[in-house]
Amino acid sequence: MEIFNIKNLSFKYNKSPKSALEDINLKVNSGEFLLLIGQSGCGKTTLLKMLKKELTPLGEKSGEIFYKRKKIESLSKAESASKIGFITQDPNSQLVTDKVYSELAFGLESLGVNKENIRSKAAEFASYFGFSEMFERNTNSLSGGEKQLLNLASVMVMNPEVILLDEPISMLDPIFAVEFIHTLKRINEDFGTTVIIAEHHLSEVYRLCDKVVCLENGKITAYNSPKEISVDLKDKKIEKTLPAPVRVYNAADSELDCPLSVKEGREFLDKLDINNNYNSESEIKERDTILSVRNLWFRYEKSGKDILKDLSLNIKKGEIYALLGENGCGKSTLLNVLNGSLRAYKGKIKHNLKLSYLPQNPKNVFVKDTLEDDMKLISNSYKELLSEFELLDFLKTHPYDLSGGELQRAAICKVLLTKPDIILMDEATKGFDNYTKEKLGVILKSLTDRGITVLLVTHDLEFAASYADRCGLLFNGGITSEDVSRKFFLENMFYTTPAAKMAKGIIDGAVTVEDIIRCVNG
Amino acid sequence: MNTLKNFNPVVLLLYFVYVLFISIFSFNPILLASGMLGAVLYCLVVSDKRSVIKSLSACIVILLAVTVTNPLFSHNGKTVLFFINDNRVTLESLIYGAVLGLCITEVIIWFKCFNLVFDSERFIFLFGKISPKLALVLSMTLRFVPSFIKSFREINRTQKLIGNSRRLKRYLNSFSAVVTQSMENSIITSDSMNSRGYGAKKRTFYSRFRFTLSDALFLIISTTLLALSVIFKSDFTYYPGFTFSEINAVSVTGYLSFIVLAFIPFIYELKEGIRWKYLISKI
Repeated sequence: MEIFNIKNLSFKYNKSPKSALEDINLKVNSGEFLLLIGQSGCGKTTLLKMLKKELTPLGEKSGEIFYKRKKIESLSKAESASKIGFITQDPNSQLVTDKVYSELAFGLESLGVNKENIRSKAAEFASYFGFSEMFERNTNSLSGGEKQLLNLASVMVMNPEVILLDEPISMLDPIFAVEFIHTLKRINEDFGTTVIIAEHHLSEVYRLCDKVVCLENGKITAYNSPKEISVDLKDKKIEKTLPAPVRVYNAADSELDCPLSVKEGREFLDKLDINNNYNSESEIKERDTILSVRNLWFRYEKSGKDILKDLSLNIKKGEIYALLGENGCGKSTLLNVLNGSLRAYKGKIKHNLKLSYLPQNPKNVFVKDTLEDDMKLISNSYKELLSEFELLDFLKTHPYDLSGGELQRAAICKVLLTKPDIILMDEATKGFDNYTKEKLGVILKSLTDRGITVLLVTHDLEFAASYADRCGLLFNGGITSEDVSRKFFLENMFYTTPAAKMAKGIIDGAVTVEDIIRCVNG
Repeated sequence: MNTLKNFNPVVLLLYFVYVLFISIFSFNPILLASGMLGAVLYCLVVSDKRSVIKSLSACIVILLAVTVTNPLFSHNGKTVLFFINDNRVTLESLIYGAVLGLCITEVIIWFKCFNLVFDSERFIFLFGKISPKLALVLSMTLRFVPSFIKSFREINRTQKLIGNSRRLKRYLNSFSAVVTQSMENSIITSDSMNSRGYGAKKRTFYSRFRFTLSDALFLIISTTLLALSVIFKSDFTYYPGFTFSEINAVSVTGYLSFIVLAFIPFIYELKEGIRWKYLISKI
């Protein structure tokens, strides 16, 4: 049975000259796992919001949306709330209350369900989602990934028929992101709940979904199963966001079946007759060490455990150094010790540089009402830099109104005005699609040309593989492995890019999708 | 360990109201002293010794201050001790001051006990009994305030690092930024509330607390003890001279009832502690 039937839907925001959605026709069957892909601003979010009555934005709408053969406008508020769940990007702001259990109960309380029913439902879903231990905890004390799972659980408590998700994993760390997607798949299979998800981090979700819809400028340009659609997406901008095996498949022009997982990707590569040696010789520049850290020890509390243990690190002039490591291993702590916000109790940090710092949330760099005023806080000679970063058009814009990529560029601009020798960046690529990331990578490279050094803390292995000169892995308070990026990723088994996993033993020396594609094409 | 917490918050609140009610209105030194003792013993069992000693020393200062100050302002009483600037300083007003000091400090210590038992969750439960909406507002506030402070600190730190160096200006800038960010985020929160049916029907209220048999027992015992100590209360007057009801079976029943009431938390913790030790020895 179909759960949504969208007929000739068009939508234009008030005050906007161009339509956000144009003539959308789509049927979603009950129990389907549907993936919406498309570049930022293509209308994914708008389409999702049109499916949820309470969130439908203001504007001119034409066409019809039917939910189980009923017009979506005719659903009662209670019906729409309980049957259609909605989850957005920001794990934090979606939470309403202070305790985990009261968050779980929120929806049912709103629907006037009695206390005993809420009690049993909340308990049931707390254990399904693994929140039993955290039932009485404060929501503020959860990690981002736990918060997003809680958001999902608090929607599931109401027993919805369909869940709409707007880039739910873009703010999560990779391990939690994978867990979230697998939980979603499990819900889809355990309860038959329909899932419609818009996402641009496709590594897991692409191979788990049933159907993929590609949106471009508000129009559906492709709709098919994940295996079939890959050909339709060929040579589009969106192709860059597809998982590594799919991109390799598209480049190879093969008659074979499209591989989705790393395993299928390896089988696929095996069947191709390819040049198995990627020439990975790259010159290694001799550079001077400009920042050296010796035997650093740090803990937050007198009786707490050590976060950094005997850590030593050398950063060289003009390089991009990517510091990798799992959640809570002390990456951000190290940055804060380096920038002077925290003080180590033992060890030495030697440098005579001007340090600058870019926080995880680039919004925190801006405090004024326009970009111009914010730049003026630092220096008056900002125009040149802004034009170089393609930001001159936004002088009078409120910084928070910029898109993710623009905001990050503006933040880098503002930091550059302080004329730093080294920039410490915390999770610079969080929430970006591949296209935006590429642009950021190019900017970082251009910084090193000016002689600025970049120390980057990141979870994004593909980004590090493409743009960092050297990578280091932080584990248990110390740097456990460190090398030139390519060697680093070639030697790691788990802590490496999907492309490197795919090519291991088949193409020597390839760590990025581009590397493999070069070999595949001869 | 704090097992008293496990009782229903309504029952606990009533208990604290009972004890404070009698302590304040009886103004009887024996009741005040035994109430004080009960509270201190309870604090010693459930919280760390150092904080108890700290509050007690503060209490002694208050007690002495009130004792000394009262005779300077009140010159009633028939037993004159000495004169200051032609003003009588009487034994009665000195004692009255001491009892007043005891009363104030006892209230302080009972509030300390109250804080040990009542956390935000229990407050929200009490408000939820009155109005589910009020409980929600409270719960949202308790979530909002710490996260507001946290983002303020983060923004301020970032600003400091990128060279916004004048402290006052930086604080103002950071404050305005955190307000703007919070407002933006509140749109997401309200969307999330709306999409989960906020306002669709009359709200109900869920909490972890139930009213159990032991809650009923606690309520009955404490209410009975309250009733007994009110019915068999002994009078105690200070001016012009001390008068108090004679000690007989009736007044002793009244005193004993209150003493038991005031010692309930302590006895209960002690009992649970012993039961736990016994269980461990059995294991």
